[in-house]
Amino acid sequence: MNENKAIEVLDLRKQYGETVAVDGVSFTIERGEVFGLLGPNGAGKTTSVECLLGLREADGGQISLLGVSHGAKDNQVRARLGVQLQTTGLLNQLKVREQIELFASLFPRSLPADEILDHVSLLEESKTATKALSGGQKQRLAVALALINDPDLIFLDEPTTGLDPQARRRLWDVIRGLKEKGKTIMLTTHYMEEAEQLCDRVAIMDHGRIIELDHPARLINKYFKETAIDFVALGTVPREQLKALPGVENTLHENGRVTLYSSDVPHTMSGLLEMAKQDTLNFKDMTVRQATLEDVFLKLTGRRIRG
Amino acid sequence: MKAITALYLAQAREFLRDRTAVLFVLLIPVVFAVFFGLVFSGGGRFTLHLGLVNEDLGPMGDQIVKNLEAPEAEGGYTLIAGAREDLLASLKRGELHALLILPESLSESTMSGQSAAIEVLYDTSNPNSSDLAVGVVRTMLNEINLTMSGSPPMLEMKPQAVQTNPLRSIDFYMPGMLGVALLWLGIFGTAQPIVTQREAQILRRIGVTPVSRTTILTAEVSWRVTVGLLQTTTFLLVGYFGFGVGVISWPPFIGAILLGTLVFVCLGYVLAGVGRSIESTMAIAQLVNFPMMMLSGSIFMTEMLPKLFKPIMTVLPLTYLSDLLRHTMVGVQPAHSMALNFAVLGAWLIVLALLAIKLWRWE
Repeated sequence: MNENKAIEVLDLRKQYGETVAVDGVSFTIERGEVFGLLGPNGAGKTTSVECLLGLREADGGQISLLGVSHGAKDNQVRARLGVQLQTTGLLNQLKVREQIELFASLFPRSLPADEILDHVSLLEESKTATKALSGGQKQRLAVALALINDPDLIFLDEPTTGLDPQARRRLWDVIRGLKEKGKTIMLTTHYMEEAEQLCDRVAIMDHGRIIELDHPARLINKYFKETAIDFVALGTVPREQLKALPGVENTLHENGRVTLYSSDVPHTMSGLLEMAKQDTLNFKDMTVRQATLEDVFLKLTGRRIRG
Repeated sequence: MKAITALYLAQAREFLRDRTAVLFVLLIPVVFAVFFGLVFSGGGRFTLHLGLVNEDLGPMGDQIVKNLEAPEAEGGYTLIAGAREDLLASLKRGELHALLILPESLSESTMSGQSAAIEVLYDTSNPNSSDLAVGVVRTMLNEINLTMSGSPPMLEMKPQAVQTNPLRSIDFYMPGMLGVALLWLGIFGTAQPIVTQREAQILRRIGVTPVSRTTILTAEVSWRVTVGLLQTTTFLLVGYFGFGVGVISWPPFIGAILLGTLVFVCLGYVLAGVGRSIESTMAIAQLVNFPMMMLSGSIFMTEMLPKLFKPIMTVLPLTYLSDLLRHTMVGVQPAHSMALNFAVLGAWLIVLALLAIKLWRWE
């Protein structure tokens, strides 16, 4: 296998009884790349990551990490992996710094504890017992543990779930910093924005399969040349009339929330305002935005990624 | 080595900072031992309280009463003479252990050469004292029979107490509770934290570092053996300085402690392997804990237990550990040979270790 590829997965399969969790997933991640596995809960993201890490025995397929087939079983490869799992796996009674030092001593080589704690803004909590940390702090500590061995390949399984927006942005900065240092990162998320902000490439997963895989901007471009106009309709929605507005390529209705994908925003807007004047349409909370991965997911699956 | 030390230290901190674990594993057993030792120490000799009702119309009754009250009758009893109703009431209140009733016709029958029946009523609520009471009364009547028949006794008893090392309650409970302490190390110090850590997925997390699983288990088991030694030290310090209970023969004692610790740590791993959640594990653990504690002779003497439990008793590893500890600490004659004690514990260790490996789950 090729040492330049951080991860190579070919036709990965995993079944729990009758339920197919991962249904033939293949992808390759280059060294230095930030790769996102994007999908709703239950899409098979975590199962895929756990199979890659050897925490679950795959039912079929080939996996190689850092050029080593079944790398997760190899101690030398494991020494170069940084892992943050969804369940943080922390010892409750240990203080933050003790936790860092414990994991540091499990690796042949490690970074100074203070440097890592500073990196995830936990330096002030270094003497706090793990059980006294907030959910977000535990999450950041788990990320810190993934960095302690200065790894080449980092797995982050939903690293920002449960974080407040500020903490999420701070963690994004950490991930960007790691990318600058040339680390390879594989992260799973169900936040589209996160994937757009951080990832060089994203694989969109649904029902155990990868349904699209590309650079976020290219994906959006591929499915949407148009701009999205969102609003909340009050009262009855004249669907046919909306579809007939100038520039509208496609419409989407969801519990009173309307999205118009328009290739000619000025004309679509004036048409909308005309309807409002004639009182055939009442709306509020209108926004005009570029299409996002969320729109791509919606178009591909007919569902929103969350909910 | 660096990894083993770090994992050992981490387990030590997890344990020592968890108040419930420290309380149940390190403190409560020794407190129980001292408590039982003091509460059940009783002290002094057991005195039998006898009642005597003399309804005899002739002289014989008075003679017997005089005999029984005579100062040389040092049977370790007190005698209260009185009316039938009063003494019967005292017997029912538990103030008397037995009541002798000399019948109206006593003098008349004995004079005419017939034997007379003396009624003996005794309290059966306490089998120990009732057996003793009946025995003492029988001896008394024999003596009276002899005196009355006029023939000199062929054999005379000359009681002489031999000073043996008297076994105090604390001598019984210290080794017994040390055995229970090691059992609790398996339950509260092994099964419980392992399942808690498994539920928090700590083992999985450590599993994706380059540390081998053998290293993880070695560190964990070493820490638990250390706890076993800490428990033993606590018992020896409290026992020796508080009550003069030490160790009589060290090599078998240390062997018993190490073997016992390993047996119960393995039992803890088996329980953790059987239980799905922390709740189910602790429920199963209690099913093991109670019979083991109650039926192994650690808290109750095995002689006191109904025969029904005998088969369970013979199987429990704690039965043999307690036997070993009592013998090596306070010199009680062991119920089984030392070799048998060690052999049974060794067999348990092998069975439990194999089971623990078979049932082990990382998540």
